[in-house]
Amino acid sequence: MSNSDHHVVLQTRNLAVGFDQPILSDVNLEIPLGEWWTVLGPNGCGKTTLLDTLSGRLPPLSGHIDIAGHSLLDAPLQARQRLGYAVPPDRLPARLTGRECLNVFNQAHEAIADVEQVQFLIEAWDFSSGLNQFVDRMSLGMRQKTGLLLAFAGQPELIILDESLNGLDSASAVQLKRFLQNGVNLKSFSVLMATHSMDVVSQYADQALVCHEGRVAIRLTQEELREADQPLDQLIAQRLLN
Amino acid sequence: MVLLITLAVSIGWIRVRLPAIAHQNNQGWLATLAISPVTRKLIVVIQTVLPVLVMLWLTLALAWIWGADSEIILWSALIGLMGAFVSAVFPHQASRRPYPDSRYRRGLVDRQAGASLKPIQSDLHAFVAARMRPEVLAKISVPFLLVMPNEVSLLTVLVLFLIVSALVYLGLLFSALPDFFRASQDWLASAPLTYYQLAKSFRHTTWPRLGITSACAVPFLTYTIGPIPGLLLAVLVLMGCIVAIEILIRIGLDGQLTPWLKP
Repeated sequence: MSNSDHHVVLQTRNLAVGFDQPILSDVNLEIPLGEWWTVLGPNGCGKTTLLDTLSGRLPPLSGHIDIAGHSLLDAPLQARQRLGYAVPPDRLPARLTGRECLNVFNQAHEAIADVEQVQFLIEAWDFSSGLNQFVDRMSLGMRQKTGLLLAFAGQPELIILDESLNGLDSASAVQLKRFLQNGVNLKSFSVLMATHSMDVVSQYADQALVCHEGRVAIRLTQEELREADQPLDQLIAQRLLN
Repeated sequence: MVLLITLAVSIGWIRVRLPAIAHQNNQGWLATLAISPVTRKLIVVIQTVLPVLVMLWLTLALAWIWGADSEIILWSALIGLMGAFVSAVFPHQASRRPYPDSRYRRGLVDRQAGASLKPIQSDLHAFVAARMRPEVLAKISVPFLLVMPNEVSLLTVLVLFLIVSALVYLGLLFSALPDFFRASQDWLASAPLTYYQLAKSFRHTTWPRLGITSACAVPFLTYTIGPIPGLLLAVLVLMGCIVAIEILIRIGLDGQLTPWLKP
């Protein structure tokens, strides 16, 4: 992993995402290592479709995606080696235990055991016995934690999270946010997170993207987020009207 | 066989299409019926019994073609039906034990630097494997060994066993393909797995199946050549199949197959 300040972990050019018709078009992103970006927008605006496309679950309708310098389309294995995606709770395989899910991801990343980050989270959440349960016996929060752990297998440079705070108890959510903040500050990885949680955006994000009417309509920088003299949702509504 | 295929197609239609059609046509009672607990339970029971009936049907058909004694056919039918009955009565408990874990604890699992990778178990796989566990089939079969007539040749039994096992094994293997590709496009889509690596993980699911076929053979083998030789032969068949699969995997690992299996 490069520790260069200019190391770009995600770059998209003229990206269009959707199924038959584009839901979001002309998405151009460039996320450097060590930054926390958030994606905002109303339900159905295309946040999940965008993240699914960036994580390789959906093919893009057009455009290019590079993860840490590797094209997701032309060199998918190299690109995915540097990508961590928190598998949504409803998509985890019911018949595996959390530990087995993690083993599959460790093997995929050619890691012989849990990386330090995963071990840290397991201990912080006191989740080692919970991991031994079958997924279909887990609560929503436990499945959410399992999906999150999968994102950190193999020390990826880009972590993609889709509303991953949902279902977590408040203590676990705080631990996760601090953990992510620490990783970002140390330039271990960058985070791209879809969320409706304005406190995450205002306290942690370096940049916020607002999806609206089929495009990324607003980009708010860290200064704008921190120094806003009104609540964020009001600021966004005002910008959209303008 | 036509009846079984019709039944399988009907179940699929009831599960998938009927609620949608009922919803589109505003037939609420039809949708309620299709997704009611009783219908769902019935579907689960039929789904459980169906593979056993297919195995039974194949065995009986082959035995009849071979000219086996009618009493043997009758006992085979009874064993099969008992297996189907027990599997159907205890579906829930069985589904909580998708695989015989001792098989892995005994070291048959692929171990990489101490981390054991259990199979990527698809729902369908676990469903079938759980209900056709070797120990269940063996327990059911044992009482019948004592009363089986001794009128069929060893060669007949062996050939029947091999043909039925091969058919069942291939059927189960192919039944995994949709789940295999679904997993690669769903929860594993973001992981840097090649189809080859995925297939390597899936191969573990073949071992319980081989165990099942070996267990199915035990009653016939012990009856024809005696308890100890019969058991030994069943174990040998099982081990032979595992070695054959491992050899194929090793060839793949050497890179001879990998280029064609990469996505």
